[in-house]
Amino acid sequence: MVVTMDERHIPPVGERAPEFALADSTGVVRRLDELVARGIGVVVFYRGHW
Amino acid sequence: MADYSEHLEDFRAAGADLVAISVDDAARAEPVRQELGIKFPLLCDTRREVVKAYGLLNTAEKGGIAFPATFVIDRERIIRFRALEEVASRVNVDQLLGLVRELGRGGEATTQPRKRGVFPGWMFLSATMNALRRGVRSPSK
Repeated sequence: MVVTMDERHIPPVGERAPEFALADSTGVVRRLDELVARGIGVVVFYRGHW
Repeated sequence: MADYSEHLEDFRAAGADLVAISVDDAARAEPVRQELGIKFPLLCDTRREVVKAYGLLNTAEKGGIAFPATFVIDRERIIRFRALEEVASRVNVDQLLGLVRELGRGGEATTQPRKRGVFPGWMFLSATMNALRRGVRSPSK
């Protein structure tokens, strides 16, 4: 099966990344603005268990 | 995978912090984190709001899951680098390794044009993504 992602809805380089606040697997809430506070944040989206 | 934390320290020394996001809840993500010895947070987007906000919701998979993707974001929340990976089917270790090498060369697995060297440790990052995928794709368990 081939699934195609629609890049039109994915924020491109140069654009502001959508803010988020999510609990991690230990229950601690993590925010994007905190992630980037030291200079660079790397956000990896992964498929997970499916 | 054995030297994750070692490389993660390199990231942090370079001023970068790392999180990974999936639609898994904590009950699924936490065992993965522990099993792989991952030292960065695995965020649980069970409502799929963040995955949607980033345009990465793959509705073709049951319940809707995230397309694999990586963003490097600066202090002003500006996206400095983006890599999208369309890996819709299961891949074996050799294929994963090939993908890692391709990404390390700034190859076609990245959607942004060839900004190689833009971020140190890109190879490690790719390996991490693949490890996450490989580590959680174990339906036989």
